[in-house]
Amino acid sequence: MKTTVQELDGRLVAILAGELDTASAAETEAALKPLFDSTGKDLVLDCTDLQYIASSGIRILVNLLKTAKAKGDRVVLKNVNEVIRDVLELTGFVSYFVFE
Amino acid sequence: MASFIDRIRTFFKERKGSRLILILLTALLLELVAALQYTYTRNLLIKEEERITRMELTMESEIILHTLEEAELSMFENEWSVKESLAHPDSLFGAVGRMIESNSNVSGACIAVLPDYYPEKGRLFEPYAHREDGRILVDQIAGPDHDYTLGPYFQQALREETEFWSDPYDYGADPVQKLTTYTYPVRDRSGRLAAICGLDIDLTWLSDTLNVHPYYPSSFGFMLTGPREERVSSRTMDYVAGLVMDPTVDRTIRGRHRVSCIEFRDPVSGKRAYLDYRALPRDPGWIVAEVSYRDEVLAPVRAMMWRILLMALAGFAFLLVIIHRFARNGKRLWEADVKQARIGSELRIARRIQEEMLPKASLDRSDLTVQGSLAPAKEVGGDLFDYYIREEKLFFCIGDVCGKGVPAAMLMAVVHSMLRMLSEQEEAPARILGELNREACRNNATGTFVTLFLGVLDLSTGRLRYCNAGHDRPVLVGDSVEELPALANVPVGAFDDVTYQEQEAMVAPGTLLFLYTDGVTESMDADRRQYGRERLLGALSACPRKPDVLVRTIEAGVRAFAGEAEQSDDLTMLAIHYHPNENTIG
Repeated sequence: MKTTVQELDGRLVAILAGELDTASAAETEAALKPLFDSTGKDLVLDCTDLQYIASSGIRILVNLLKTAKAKGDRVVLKNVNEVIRDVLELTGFVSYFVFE
Repeated sequence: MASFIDRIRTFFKERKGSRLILILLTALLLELVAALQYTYTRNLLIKEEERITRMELTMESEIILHTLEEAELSMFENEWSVKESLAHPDSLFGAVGRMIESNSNVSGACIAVLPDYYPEKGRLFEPYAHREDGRILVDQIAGPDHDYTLGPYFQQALREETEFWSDPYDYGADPVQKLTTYTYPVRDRSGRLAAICGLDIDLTWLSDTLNVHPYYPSSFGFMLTGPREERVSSRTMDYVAGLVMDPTVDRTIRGRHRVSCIEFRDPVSGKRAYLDYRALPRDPGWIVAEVSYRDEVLAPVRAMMWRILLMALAGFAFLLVIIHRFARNGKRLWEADVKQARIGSELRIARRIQEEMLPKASLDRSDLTVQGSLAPAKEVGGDLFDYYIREEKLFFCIGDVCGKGVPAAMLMAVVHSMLRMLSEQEEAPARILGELNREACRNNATGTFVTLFLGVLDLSTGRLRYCNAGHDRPVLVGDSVEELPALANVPVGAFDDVTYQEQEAMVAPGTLLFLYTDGVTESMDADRRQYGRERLLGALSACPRKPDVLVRTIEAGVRAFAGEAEQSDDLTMLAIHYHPNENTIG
């Protein structure tokens, strides 16, 4: 699992690559700290290279969503693959995120 | 490996004194290494000294031999000319000039004619040639103040009537020349002893060579029979000469050129020294010698010894730190082990508590058969399933806390007990989950959530009310195998402002309801391929509709699929076979 955070067109973009399973959850959550700390920007999670997400990974997304919502920011999921979208649909979180 | 660590741990635990012994042993070993290094280097240096000295002595003595031979050759070549010239005394000036001319090592030459040989020249006649400012000057030097017949060499030659070399001697002042004289008696045609020739050979270069010691500053070289080296005390010189001459003194003789070595203690300074010497293998049998002092020979190793000692000390200090750390870590490991064991036993207790919270794994009624299974990936799991019958309604649920291990298990326990409590007063699944969600969101700092499927099956009618909070949809195994249509409500604990949607379905008699957690479908093989929903559905359709057999078969299938890969998630299944009006199960 590899997480790269960068600012792009006024949005804070985190590129997630690999498999976000329980083992890599803590590390990924730490890597996403800039997103948790950000205020006033759209937060984008680029999931182009994210192959799999476990429930621990979903928890991170949900936490990020909650944090962002409290500040009035959006969380955008970009290029989510079918498997992950299925998981999000199944868990009902799909309506909370903005997809690109 | 484990047993090795155990042994070390026991070592440090039981015998604290042994640590000291280990440290001392290490120190001893290091010192031993340093000592060995020192000895080795010292022997090497002594050998080097022997080699250098032997080489120098050999070289010097060979040069001396060569010089002597050259001088002798000059004499031999000029003997005829001297003989011829004896007939005409004045031609001896030319002859003596030639004697010096042909050999640059010859600094002076004389032909001391026997007294009264030439009556016309008076009693004494001695043509003498010497070099001055690069030129050769020839003169007659005999006179009242120079009576050569009194000279020791002249007298010796007269007595012995044979040629010989004098011992080296100092000549003149400022600069002092070191000379040796080759004395050679010459006969005239009639065979009568007529003159004594003398060739002065300059050996100043030799004393320079002997006393230039680039290696050992206090060393000195000398010719035992020659003039004394001024900077060396005469007591030392006498002592050294005595050593060479004393046949009882132990000496080693080395090399083709037979260089002898005597170890001794300087009588003046008390320093230990090596005397190397070589006797010229021919007349005049001079002994070329060199004395080197041991402390100078060993000076490099002395300087090195401190460095070696310091390095050994540093290494030792480093080792001490390592040993100390190691010992401490050993202790920590041991303590950690105890702690681990305690945590382990606590986890086992927690697991038992968790297991006890689960219902009986199976239920067998005439209209209903249930089989549950929960296999945690770790000691404690984040999965749950539950079922019980109240007022002929089967309450059943399956859930999965995101994450694993103790935090998940704790939330699981809370959710499980709340679920039981809430369902005792309420039978609408959506309302139960709504209430549970509000409770779960209240103190949820970590944002952990639970996916839950909660169903209430009216056993008399087959009416199923259910609510799915983000969990995998259950599978209905009837005439066909299909997923129960379920809305995706968000998991419990995620958002507190959620309204859970309830759904209803009729379960046909004979239908088997299969609930599972994603540990089943997301179980991975060594190549990280997932077991998947398709495979599950396929397996379900191939199975007999007997909950215990089915659960066992699916679990075995999943485990066979995963193969050697470690179980990464809890594996939980609940199979409910609804079979009213059926006498047989199947």
